Amino acid sequence: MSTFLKRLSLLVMICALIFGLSGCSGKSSGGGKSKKDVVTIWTFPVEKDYNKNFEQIKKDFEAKNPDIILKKEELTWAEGIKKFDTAINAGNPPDLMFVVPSAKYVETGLAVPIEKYLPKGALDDYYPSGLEYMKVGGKLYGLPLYMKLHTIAGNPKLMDEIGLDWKKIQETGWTWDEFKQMIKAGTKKNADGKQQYAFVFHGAETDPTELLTHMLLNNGLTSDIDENGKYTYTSPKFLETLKFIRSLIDEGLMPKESNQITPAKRMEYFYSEQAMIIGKAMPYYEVTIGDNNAKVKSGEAPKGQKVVDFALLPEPHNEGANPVTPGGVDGYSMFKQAKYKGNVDQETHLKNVAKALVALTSGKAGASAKILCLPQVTKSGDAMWKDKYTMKPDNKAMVDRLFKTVLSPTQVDPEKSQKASKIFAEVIVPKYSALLGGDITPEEMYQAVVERAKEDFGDDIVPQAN
Amino acid sequence: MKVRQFLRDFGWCYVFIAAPVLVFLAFTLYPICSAFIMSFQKYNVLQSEWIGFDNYKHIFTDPLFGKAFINTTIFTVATVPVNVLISLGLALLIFKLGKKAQTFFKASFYLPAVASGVTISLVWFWIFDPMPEGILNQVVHLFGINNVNWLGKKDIALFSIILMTYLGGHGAGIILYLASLGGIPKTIYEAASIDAASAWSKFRNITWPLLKPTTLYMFVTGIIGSFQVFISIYLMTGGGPDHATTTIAYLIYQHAFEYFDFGLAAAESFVLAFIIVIVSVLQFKYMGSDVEY
Repeated sequence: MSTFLKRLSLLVMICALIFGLSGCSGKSSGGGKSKKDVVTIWTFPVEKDYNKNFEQIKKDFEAKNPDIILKKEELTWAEGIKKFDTAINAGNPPDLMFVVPSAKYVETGLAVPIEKYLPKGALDDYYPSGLEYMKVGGKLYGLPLYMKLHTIAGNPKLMDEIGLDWKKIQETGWTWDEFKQMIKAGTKKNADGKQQYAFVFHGAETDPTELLTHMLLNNGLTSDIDENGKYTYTSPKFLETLKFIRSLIDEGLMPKESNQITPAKRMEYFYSEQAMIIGKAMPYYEVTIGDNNAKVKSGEAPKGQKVVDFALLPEPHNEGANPVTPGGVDGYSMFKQAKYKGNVDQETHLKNVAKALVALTSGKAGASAKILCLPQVTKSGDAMWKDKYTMKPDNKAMVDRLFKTVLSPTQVDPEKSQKASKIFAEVIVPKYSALLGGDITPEEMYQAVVERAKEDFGDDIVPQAN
Repeated sequence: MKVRQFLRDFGWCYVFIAAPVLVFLAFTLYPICSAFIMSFQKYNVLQSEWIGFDNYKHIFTDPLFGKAFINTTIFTVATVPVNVLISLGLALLIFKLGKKAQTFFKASFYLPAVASGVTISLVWFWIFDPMPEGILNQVVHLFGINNVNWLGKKDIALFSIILMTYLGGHGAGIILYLASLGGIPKTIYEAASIDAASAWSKFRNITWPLLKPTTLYMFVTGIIGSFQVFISIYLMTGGGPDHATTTIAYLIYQHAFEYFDFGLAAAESFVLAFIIVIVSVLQFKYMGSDVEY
């Protein structure tokens, strides 16, 4: 009996060990014996119909390319990039990732310059402005899916209440001083007795420094590294921009708690008519605000929210500076694995990945740009979708107008770009939060940036303020 | 023959120990050794570069690491002793109750331990809403205090995170103290009563000394945990404003996953481990003696 029990316990232990260790396998199941080339794609819920659109593109692509399988994994916006960062640093990124290439990814050595792998003539379909955003150091690492623009938007009813001629502003734009003067009356107690702010821009959670980067663009600082390779945030214009932003809070136009306003809070204030103008705003807000209005009408929205309209507005620019609309692209970048193990040789695999990349970003893929109310990035996309946009004519006209002031990015040496990114993350982001909170002055923040820039760039900086 | 005897006596012990040891070697010891080697390198996924002690030199000359160390120390000193005392106080109150009431309160205080740190942090982020409609601001408004930007002001943000720890997470400590209180012989209290000892005297001379092993355990585990505080910082403040809430663990995360400087992050993690070991050794040295009556 004792021997039997011992043998039984040994068997149970071995089984437990096998089950435990089998869960540690890094390889995913499925497709192990197939000779087809598997292209792995990590993406996000880009728009509400993206899953459906993607499956259609996949079906068409695999029918035309029977030796290639597209394997998709959908990530969440909250943690997708972190998962990708972990994967790339483990040497095992997906072949295509829904991310714009950046210096830190290029420095890993796993980002692939795609031009030599693309099918002949593929790039002719793409508008050059979109392609520029997918380059680092002059090399193309991916293809765009849609152009995007970030701006500000207002509640027409609240703007009319204070006599703000927003339709004229949409056509002519406004300077920083005009902006402050014209929206001042927007800070008051609203009809419900609650505090209404003239301007609410998020300063927490996703991209907390977005107001700063937008205003820097509209004060002539269009890139942290200029064409001569010099770091530009030591310029007096940087200090000027900080002072402008701080004055928005000091003069009561923005809440003093701006460094804790999340994007969700900002929208909550817009829906409850406690914010006259919000940032950032995107053309797609026409859809999201419309959806929220439907919830208000059906009684599903939280108490206090109202049916609101929205009008896109241009960002204010400093006197003497050119108005700029912050823009860019979203798209797929191409990567390779540190230890490639596939069913075909790596060069053939990379060519297949490039084919998939083109399929995912042109023609039918333009449906995403249409749904997001954004311009197409390809001629084939334009031909297929340009008459199918459902945006309100006023907002569509505004989008077209704003896109004329979106700048192309400056191509910068990846190593300098990495240094500039580090200054941004380690100095500018933390100090900016303290600036918004009133804990430091614009001069103190500017000084901290200058000191760090001198350490990292030496003399390769734009002359600073006295 | 001796080997056969040895295997007969202890063979099965080694078989059953083998599984957890293998798991420890594969998932603890190997990563620690890899991280130690990485701490002497400038890590790159394709080809790392050996740089000797440069990462460690950087740590001891980096003002940001110094700031993170100060923040972590303040957090530890402000949370661990207070939380231990809160747990002890609640345990003493619950100990006097009847069995059913004890069970109810034990379960109630332990319930937050079931929720993840992420959930609790997100709920507190909502409580700390800086606008007038925020819950905590509505409470302080009753006392005539205006809006407080709980997580957005340099001099308040760390205190807000500390306050969060005072108002929850005492369940495990309460359970441990209740078990220890139950282990103190009643005869000692009876003897003290005969000598007309006051309640405070009984606590000071009987309860507190005999709870020393539990208190030591609470301090050691509390300090180990507080030196590694990360989730609440990551979710609620992002280390700001202006690094006011940047802790060593958060800095390690930033260097590893935002700047991809895994070598530096590995070095920082070993420095943190070393600090924790030193503090724990000192605690055992000065608080480790047992009390017997």
